[in-house]
Amino acid sequence: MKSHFDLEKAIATWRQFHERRRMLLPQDLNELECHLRDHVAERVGAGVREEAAFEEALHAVGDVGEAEPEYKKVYWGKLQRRHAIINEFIWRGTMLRNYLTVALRNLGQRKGYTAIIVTSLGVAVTASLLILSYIQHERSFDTFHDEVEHLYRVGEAEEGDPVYFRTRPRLLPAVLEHIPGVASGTRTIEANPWVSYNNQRFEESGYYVDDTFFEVFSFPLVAGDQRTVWEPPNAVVMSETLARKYFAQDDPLGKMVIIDFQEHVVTGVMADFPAASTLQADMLLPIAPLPDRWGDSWNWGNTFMPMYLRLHGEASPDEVADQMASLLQRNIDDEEATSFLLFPMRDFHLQAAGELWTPGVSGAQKRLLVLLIIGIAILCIAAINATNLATAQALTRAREIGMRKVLGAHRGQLITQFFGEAALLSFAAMLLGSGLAWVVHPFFNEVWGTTMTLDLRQPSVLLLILGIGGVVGLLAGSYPAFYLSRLRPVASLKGRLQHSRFSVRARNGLVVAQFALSVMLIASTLVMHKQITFMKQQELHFDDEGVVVMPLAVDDFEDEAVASSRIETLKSELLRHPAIQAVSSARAFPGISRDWATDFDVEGGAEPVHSRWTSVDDAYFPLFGIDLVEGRNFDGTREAEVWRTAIINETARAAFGWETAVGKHIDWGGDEPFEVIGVVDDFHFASLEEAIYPMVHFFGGTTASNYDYLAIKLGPGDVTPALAYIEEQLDVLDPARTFDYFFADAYFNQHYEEMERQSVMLGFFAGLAILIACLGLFGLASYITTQRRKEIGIRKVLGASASDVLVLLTKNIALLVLVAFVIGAPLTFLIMERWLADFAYRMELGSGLFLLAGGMALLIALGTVGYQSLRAALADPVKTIRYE
Amino acid sequence: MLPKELVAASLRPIMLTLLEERAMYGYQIIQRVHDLSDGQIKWTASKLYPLLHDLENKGLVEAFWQPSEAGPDRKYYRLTRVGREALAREKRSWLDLNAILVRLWGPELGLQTA
Repeated sequence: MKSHFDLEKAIATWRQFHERRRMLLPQDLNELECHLRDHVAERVGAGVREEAAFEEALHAVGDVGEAEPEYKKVYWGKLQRRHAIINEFIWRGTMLRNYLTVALRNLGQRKGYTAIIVTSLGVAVTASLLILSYIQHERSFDTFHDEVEHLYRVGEAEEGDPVYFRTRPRLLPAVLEHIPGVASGTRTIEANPWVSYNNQRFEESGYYVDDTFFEVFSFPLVAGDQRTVWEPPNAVVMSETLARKYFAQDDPLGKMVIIDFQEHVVTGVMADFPAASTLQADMLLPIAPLPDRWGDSWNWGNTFMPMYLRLHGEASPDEVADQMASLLQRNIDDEEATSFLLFPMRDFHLQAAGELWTPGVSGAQKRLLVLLIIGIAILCIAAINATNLATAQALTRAREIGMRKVLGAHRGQLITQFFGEAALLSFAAMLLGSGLAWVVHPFFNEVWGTTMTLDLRQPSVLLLILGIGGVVGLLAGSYPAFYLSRLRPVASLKGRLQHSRFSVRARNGLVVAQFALSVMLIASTLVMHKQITFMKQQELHFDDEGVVVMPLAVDDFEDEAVASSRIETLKSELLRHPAIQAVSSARAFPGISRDWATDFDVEGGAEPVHSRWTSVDDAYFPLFGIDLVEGRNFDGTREAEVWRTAIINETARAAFGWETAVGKHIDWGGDEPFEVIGVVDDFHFASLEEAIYPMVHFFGGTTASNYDYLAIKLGPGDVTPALAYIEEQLDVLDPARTFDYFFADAYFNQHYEEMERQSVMLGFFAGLAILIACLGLFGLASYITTQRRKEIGIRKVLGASASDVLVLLTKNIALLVLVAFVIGAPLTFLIMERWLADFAYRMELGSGLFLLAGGMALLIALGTVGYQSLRAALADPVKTIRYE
Repeated sequence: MLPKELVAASLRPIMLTLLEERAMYGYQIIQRVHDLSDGQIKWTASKLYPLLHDLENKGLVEAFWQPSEAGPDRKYYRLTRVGREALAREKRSWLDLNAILVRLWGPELGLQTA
């Protein structure tokens, strides 16, 4: 029998295989071929059949795959010697171009898939970029100061109390003199002086500072010398913006301006303070004249001014704080045993920010953490999309892979191919995402009230984009790369490949995860929104509708007597207008809470009671519609009642342990005790985040120094004429001055603005999350319906109605969303319960909100798959069955 | 059969020695070693060629091509001057090693120490 074996053909096939692998150079292959031939010839000479000899020779040559590393080791040296390196590059380049062509073609063929992946990844990149830039912005506060690690803000605390970031006037000079670890320090007292120049007057914001200010902080001067700016006792240093406002193009140095009735000379111009600075001011004034002006209150006991210290590198802040405590003990008899805290400046913005600080995670840090979690959740949802769609596609791609393998592609090439596609997708997503982020970040700033900048050319931002896009893209590409490339070509070509039960389950699990996250985000947004509405709708027990408020204090006038008489005149003039119902002077009003509090000795009580206090005039309670529940209002005609009488709120009455309050006395250690003449209803002096605290109102009479604000109640209807009249009267009061006024109700609601911003942000990201999840679902649904097209056709032929088919196709999704709801809702409940626990007045968490969130998720999901399902359900069965 | 490690170690000196005698091609070398060792040393192509190429890269051997009866040209290897020097060093080392072993085992095997 003649053998079918053809040695030449067999050797040619063997050669071709190796040529395609490109692991061996042609000459090495020649050498191996000779070897093979010699071996066969020898064995045939010994009487072995050609085919068997060939098998034996192949075996003897050994698996070249095994020798590849050996060959590789000597390969590069050879390449260099033979100048073949250029050829190699050309070949690699060609291959790269081929990968790219194939990838583009593949993606182009699946436009829907490509669009979904790119959009969802892109949107996720946008979201995370915005979030990360915001976090970076928040973390960058005050870090522009040189050696910021040695910079501290001083706080004081009595045992068990929160730390108060204010301290005493006389402390700093003593600290600088006696504590060697302190390199420098400055006090910064807020000031809002009136500045006039060329008959213009504006209220500006600034600080009184020590002449060491520029040693402590790194705010550069653009004009003037920081060593000499404080030499004139009446110096002022302005920001660039302020200098331009007053002097336009003129040289500001040496210009004289009037600040609070005193002449000041501009000695320096500093660059505007960066947005990411805790200190914000347009002008600096020397602190030197203040001790004289403040007299007795410039002492060791008054705790009211911010203070910053710069330590020497080796000094320990804790030791310095202890030394400060003993320094204080030496100077006053400090019964409370005050301790000091040096709080690192670079952490101040995120961890403390306010005037009071209690150890623990701050609200700002919590907010950043929540944002970070949301960002990660969104990225997860997008990555799940990519993975899910890739899995769904496995079936169609399996054939392609089988074909490629048969045509000689080995696994490494397929992996490269798939990663190439993933890289291309994530690159497109990165472009889209960063473009989108760049477009929307100003809007983001607007809503969030931030000043973050997104500079796409910054290396750290670029790295961030690459990192996010790369990691998520590669994650998404790894399933096809590692799983699909492993498929056996024969099975996949015959189409015997089925989705394994596991892969379907995994896919369902991922969809559940996506929707659980979405339900959580939606539900949290709803809860937050409802809590804000809840607080806004609460009965406040006062009426601030149509109340105009303006700051008006004794500092605005030459002296107290002038202030008192002119303000009284203004009030009576204002009341002549028919639309103005009432006018009142007060230290504060609902919504502007001033933390003035002290311990009162109360009649019949053993312990002093801590209570807040303020001073008002006799028009205050009627103007705000605050009801008296006991006693009477102040009587404006009785001068004897001024600073001798008090009206307290119900909480104070309870706190003082009284049944009835009228006629009882309280005392804060002054000349005479105060007589309580009335009790008012508990009105919400502060926002509903805070509980109502004991409150004492003293009668300030007509003395201007007892008040900081003027409140004007307007009647219903058009307020424009009344406002015009008010401006007219204010012009009479001081023609050079522009008065700043605002509506009390709007101001009160500002307390909720921060929360509203947060809820808008959360809603925004929740919307993004669900959008991305739905994009994925849409893609998935379209694959599933395509896959089941024939099944649906047969069902319809056998009598199923369109609605039966619709139910069949959507049932599964509904089930998944339901599972997602069951997981997501309780988690959200727990999280939101903790969030609500911080509010003094909070809504009850009912099931309604969660059902609403779940319903929304379900509706959105069904709406997404509905289109595909409906199309499949309505399709002509004849066409679908025939389709192959 | 000799242990794998010894075979691997001896690959280089044996090859250099064979190529010093005359130019040879790969298959010839394997056959020659097989015969020399009475079948105790079996080299495979996947071991032999990378080593030959390495020696070639290092300039110890040089290669040239000759036409063959069937198929592509045959690649012959022969020792260069550098290769000869390397072989001399190689011989020295192996003889030194041999001397040590003889000193160790000589008495019990009845051999004369040098």
